[in-house]
Amino acid sequence: MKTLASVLCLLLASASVAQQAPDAGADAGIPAGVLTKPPALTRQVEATYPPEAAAQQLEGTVVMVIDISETGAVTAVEVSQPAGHGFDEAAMAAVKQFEFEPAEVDNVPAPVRIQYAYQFVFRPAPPPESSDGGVDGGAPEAPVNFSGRALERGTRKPLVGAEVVLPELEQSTVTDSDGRFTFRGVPVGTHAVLVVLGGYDRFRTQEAVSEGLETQATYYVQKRFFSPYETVVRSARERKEVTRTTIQAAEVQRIPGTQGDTLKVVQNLPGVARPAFNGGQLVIRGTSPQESGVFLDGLRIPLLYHFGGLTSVYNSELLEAVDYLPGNFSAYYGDITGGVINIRSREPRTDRVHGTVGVSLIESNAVVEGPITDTLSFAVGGRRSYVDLVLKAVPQSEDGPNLQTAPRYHDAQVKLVWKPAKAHTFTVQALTSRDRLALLFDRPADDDPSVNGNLDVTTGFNQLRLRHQYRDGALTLDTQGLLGNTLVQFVIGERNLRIASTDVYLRPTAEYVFSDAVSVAGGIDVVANFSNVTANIQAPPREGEPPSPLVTEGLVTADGHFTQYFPSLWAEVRWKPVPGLLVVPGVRAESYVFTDQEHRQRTVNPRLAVRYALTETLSLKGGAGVYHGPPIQDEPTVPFGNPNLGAKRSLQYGVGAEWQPVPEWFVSSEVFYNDLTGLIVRSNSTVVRDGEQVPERLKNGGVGRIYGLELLIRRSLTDRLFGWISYTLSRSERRDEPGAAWRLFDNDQTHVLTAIASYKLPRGWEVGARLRFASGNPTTPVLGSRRDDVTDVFIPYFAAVNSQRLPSFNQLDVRVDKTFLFDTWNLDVFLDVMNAYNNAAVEGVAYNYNYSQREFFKGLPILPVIGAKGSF
Amino acid sequence: MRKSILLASVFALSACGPDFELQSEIRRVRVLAIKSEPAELVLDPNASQLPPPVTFTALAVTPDARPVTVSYALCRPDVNPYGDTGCPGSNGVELSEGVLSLADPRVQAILRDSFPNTGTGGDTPNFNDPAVQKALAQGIPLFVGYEASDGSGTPEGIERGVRRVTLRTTTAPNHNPSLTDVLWNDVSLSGPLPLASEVRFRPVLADGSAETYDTADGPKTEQVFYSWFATGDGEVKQFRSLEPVDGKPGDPTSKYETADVPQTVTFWVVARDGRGGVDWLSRTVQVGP
Repeated sequence: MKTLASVLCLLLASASVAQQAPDAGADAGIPAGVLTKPPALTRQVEATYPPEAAAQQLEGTVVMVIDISETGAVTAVEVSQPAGHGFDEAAMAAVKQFEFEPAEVDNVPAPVRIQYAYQFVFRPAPPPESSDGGVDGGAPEAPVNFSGRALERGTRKPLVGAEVVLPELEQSTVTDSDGRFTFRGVPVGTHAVLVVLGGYDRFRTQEAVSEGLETQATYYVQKRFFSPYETVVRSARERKEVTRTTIQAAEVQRIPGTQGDTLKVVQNLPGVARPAFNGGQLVIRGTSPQESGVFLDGLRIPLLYHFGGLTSVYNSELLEAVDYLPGNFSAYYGDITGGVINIRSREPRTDRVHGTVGVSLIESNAVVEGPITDTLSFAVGGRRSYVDLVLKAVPQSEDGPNLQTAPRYHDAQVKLVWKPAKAHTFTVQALTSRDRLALLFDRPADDDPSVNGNLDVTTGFNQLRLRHQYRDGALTLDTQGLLGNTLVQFVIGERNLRIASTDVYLRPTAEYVFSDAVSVAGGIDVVANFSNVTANIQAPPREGEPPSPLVTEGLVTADGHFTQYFPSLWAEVRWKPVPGLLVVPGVRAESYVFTDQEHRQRTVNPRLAVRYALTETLSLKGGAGVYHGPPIQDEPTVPFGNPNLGAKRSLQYGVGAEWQPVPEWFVSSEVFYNDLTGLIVRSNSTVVRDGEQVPERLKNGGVGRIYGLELLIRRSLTDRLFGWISYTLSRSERRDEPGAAWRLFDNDQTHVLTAIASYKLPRGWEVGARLRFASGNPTTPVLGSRRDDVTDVFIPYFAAVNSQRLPSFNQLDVRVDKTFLFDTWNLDVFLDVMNAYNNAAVEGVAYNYNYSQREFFKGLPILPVIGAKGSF
Repeated sequence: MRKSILLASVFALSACGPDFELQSEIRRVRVLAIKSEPAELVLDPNASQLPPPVTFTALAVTPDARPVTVSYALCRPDVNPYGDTGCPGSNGVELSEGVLSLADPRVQAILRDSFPNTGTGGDTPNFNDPAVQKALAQGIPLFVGYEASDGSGTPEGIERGVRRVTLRTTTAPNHNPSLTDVLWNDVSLSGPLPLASEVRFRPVLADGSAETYDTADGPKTEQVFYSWFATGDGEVKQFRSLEPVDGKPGDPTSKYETADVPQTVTFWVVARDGRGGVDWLSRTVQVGP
C-alpha cells in the first residue's frame, strides 16, 4: 500500500486574518497592509497516512491555520477543521516541517497567517517491485502524452498545488505555480480524471489518450464559495492611530443599501452620523462634513460625490481599501478638525488582462487592467450615468421647470504603475469627473420669486497625480505631486457663482527604521489653490442657521483672483520602549496664506498616541492632540467672509481598548472628548480694512464640545461571512458667542446603531442585510412668520436653534447577490432593497406658505435597485 | 442657497408635497399687496426740499369680504423687522393713514439711526455729508411693518408683515407698474367660467410698466412677475407667472381649475416689478351657470 498525502490548497480564498506576536503596534486584527507578495511553499513534506485510516480506506481533509514568519518558517499550526482518524496529527506533523518563501506586505517581508487544507486521498499500495529493481526501473522515461492546466472557474486564476489524479491508473501529479500539470506514459484509451483542491468542488471528467498524440486539457474548477476578489492575506501594518478601521474592497461592494459606493460604506462605522436622504454627508464625531478630510492615497479629492451625494466620484472597482480615522489621527494628516477617510487605490493586476463591466439603473461603469510589460501595468476605469436618458423619456410636468440638460455625470480614472526595480515604484494616475444639470424655470418659484430663468449647475475636476515610492531596507520614501483644476459653476437667473481653481499639491514623506524599537517619519504637505471667482449670490447659510428664504438677503458680488496656500511640516517618532508598548509622539506645523490677509497665520499641533498590549488579545489605547482647521472656501475672502480669520482649534482626547479573542473577531471601544475653540461664526460688527469701515462678516467667536462612546464588534471577511455592529453614543454642542446658551450641533445624533452582515451561500448566492437606528437630527421650531411684501414671501422667525429633535430613524436594507460562473468569466446580478420594511425616514419639517401648518418631510419609501456586473 | 434651489427643483420635478393651505387660497385675513405711492422715497440731489410723503395702500382681503384694518409703522433699524418684534408697536413709529413723511421728527430720528457710521449727528441727517450721499446713492432700505386685522383676535384674523421701501437719490425714480386687464380666451375676464375645467388667464400691462434702469452691468429692463389668488373651491394651478424680457424666459399666464359646483369667485392678480413697484386688479365672476 502506498500512502499519498496530497498537499492541496495554499492560500484558501478566505480573508485570513492578520496575526503577529502581541505588539501594541500591531493592527489588532484589522486588515491593513497591502499584500504585495503571497507566501510560496518551497519545501513540502508528505504526511504519513494514518494506518488506521488506510486500513479502512478513509479519506479526509484537515484545514489548518498556519502562522508563517517573516523568514518563511512555520511558527504555529492550529487545526481549524479536524478530520479525525489520525489525519489531524499527521497533517500537523508534516506542515510543521514546511518552509515558505516569506510573504511581503507593502513590499516588505512580513509575518502572515494563512489557512491551509491538507487533503488525504487514499490509494491502494503499489504493486511489489520487480526483481530487476523496480516497477519501471531501468526503463527509459516515457514521453509526456497528457498535460493541461487547472484554473479557477469564473476568474481563470491558476490553481496552485491542485492534485490531478488518474484513479484507475493510480497516477497523480500536482499543479505548478502556473496551474500546469503533465503525465508521462499514460496508456492509450479513455481515463477518468479527478482534480482536487481544498476549498474547491471536486472536478471529474474523462480524457481520451491516443497513440502518438499528446492530450491537452484545461480544467475550470469551481470554488466552493465564490469570490471574485483576490485572496486576501493580510499582515499587520504598524498602527499609529488610536482608532483606524479598514474596509476591504470585497466588503465595500457587498454592503446592503450602499450599492457598493466607496464612501457611503464609511457612514456605517462608529462615530459617523446617519446622513439625510441616504446622501453623501460625512458627519464624523459631531463635526461638519467640511471639517473632515477625504483623501485618495493621501491627497485630497476636491469634490467627493456626483450631485452632492448620489454616488462618489471614485470608482470602487479600483479600490484597495478604505481607511477610516474618526479622530486623534497622526501628524501625517492636518488642516482638519474632524475625521479622516483615506481611499487607497490598488495597483493594476499583472497576471493577464482583466475587465469588469457594471450596469445599474442609473449608471454603467467599466474597468480594464493588465500588464503592458513585465514592469509596467495599467488600469483604466470609466463611468457614465444615464439618468438624463431616463428623464428625457418621462413626460415633463407643465407646471414644473423644463429640463434643458438632464442630470448627468461621468468620471474616469487612468493608472499606470511602473516598477523598474524592486525598490522603486512609479505611479501616474489621472482622474476626471464632471456633473451637469440645466433647468429652465419660466415661472418664479413660489417661495422665492427671484428663482427663475436658467438654472445651470456644472461641477467637475481633473487631476494628474505622480508618485514615486522607494523602499530599501530601513528607508522608505514616498513622494507625491498633483496638478489639477476644479470647477464649480452655478447659475440661476441673475444669480451666479463660478469658482475655477488650479490646484497644486506636493507631499514628500520619509520614514526610517532605526531599530525594532524606534522609527521616525516626517514630511512636507503643501496645498495651493489659485481660484478665479465670479459671484453674484446671497451668502450661504452656516451651520446652526435654520433654513429660511433668502429673498431679503442682499447679493454678494465678487470678481477676482483668490489664492489659498496651506504649507505644512510634520514629523513623528514610533517608539517601543518596552515590549507591548508603542508611543507615537508627533507634531505638525501648519500655515495658511490668503489673498487680502494682513498677517500669515501659523499653528503648531503636537499629538500623542499610545498603545499597550495588556495580553495577547487585549490592548489599551489612548491619544491626545491639537488639531487646527483653517478657514476654507468662501470663509477667508473679503466679499463673503474675512481674510484675517484664524483657524478653529480642536483639542482631542480619546482612550479605549481593543480585544481580539480569535483572529476573525475584533472588538474595539473608545471614549472621546473634543474641545473646540475659535469656531467661525457670523459677525454683525464692522472692522477697519484699508482705512475703511467694512462689515466683518465672520469671526472666530464660537466654541464647542463633543463627547461620546464608540463601539465596534466586527467579524472580518472570511470564506462566507463578514459584518459588524457599530454603536455610537455622543453629544455635539456649540455656543456661538460668549454668554449665549449652548445649542446642539446641526447633525447631533445621540444614538447611532448599525448592524451589517453578509453571508455566502452555496451555488453562488450571497445575502446581506443592514439594520440601522439613529436618533433624529435636531431641528429649530418656527414660532411664526412675517410677510415680505416686495417679494410676497413669508419669512419665518424661530425658537432656540436646534431645540427640538426629529423622530428617530430605523431602516432595514437587504441585498441578494447571485453569481453565475462561466469558464472564463463571471456575472454577478444583485438586488439591493433599500428601506425593506418601508419605513420612510423623517428628514425634516415642511411648512406651508405662511408657516402656520407643518408636516414631517419624509425620505424615500422602499426602493429596490437592481444591477449586474460581469468580470473576466 | 444652492441647496434650497436644488431641493425646490427636486420638489418641482417630482410634483409632490403635503396637502397644505395654498398661498393662492383665501382662507383667512390676507394682505396680498401693499402699494407705495410713489414707488420709492426719492431725494432729488438738486432739490432743496424734502421729498413728498409716501402713502401705503394695502390690498387686504378675507374669504367673506369682511372689513380689515391695516396699521403701519416705520421700524427701528436696530431690530429685526422680520422677527417677533413690536413693529407696529414699541419698536416702530406709527404711520397714521399709512403716510411716511420725512418731515415727521419721529421719522427723522429713525432715519438718523439708519445711516450707520456716517457721523451725521443731530436730529436730521446731513445730506451734504459724503458718507450720507454715498449711502443714499446706493439706497437705504426702510422697513415699514404692517398689521392687518379683522378684529376677531384669532390667528386667522390677523397678518403681520413688512413693506420695504427704498430711500435714495436718483434722477430716475422707479414707478409702479400698471395692470389694465385680465384676459380669458383673449377677452376681458367676465365669466361665467365652465365647471370643473382648466382655464388660463393672461394679465395685461400698460405700456411702459416694465421700466429700463441703470445697473453696474448696464441698463436692464424690469421683469414683472405676477401672483394669482382666488376665493372659492377652485384651485390656482400656477401661483406665480413671469413676463419674458430681454431674452429672459417667462410666461405671464396662469392656469386655474374651476370648482365642480356653481359659485361666485373673486380673482386677484398682483404685478410686481422687483424694485418695489406694485399694482393689482381683481375680477369677480360666476363659475357655472
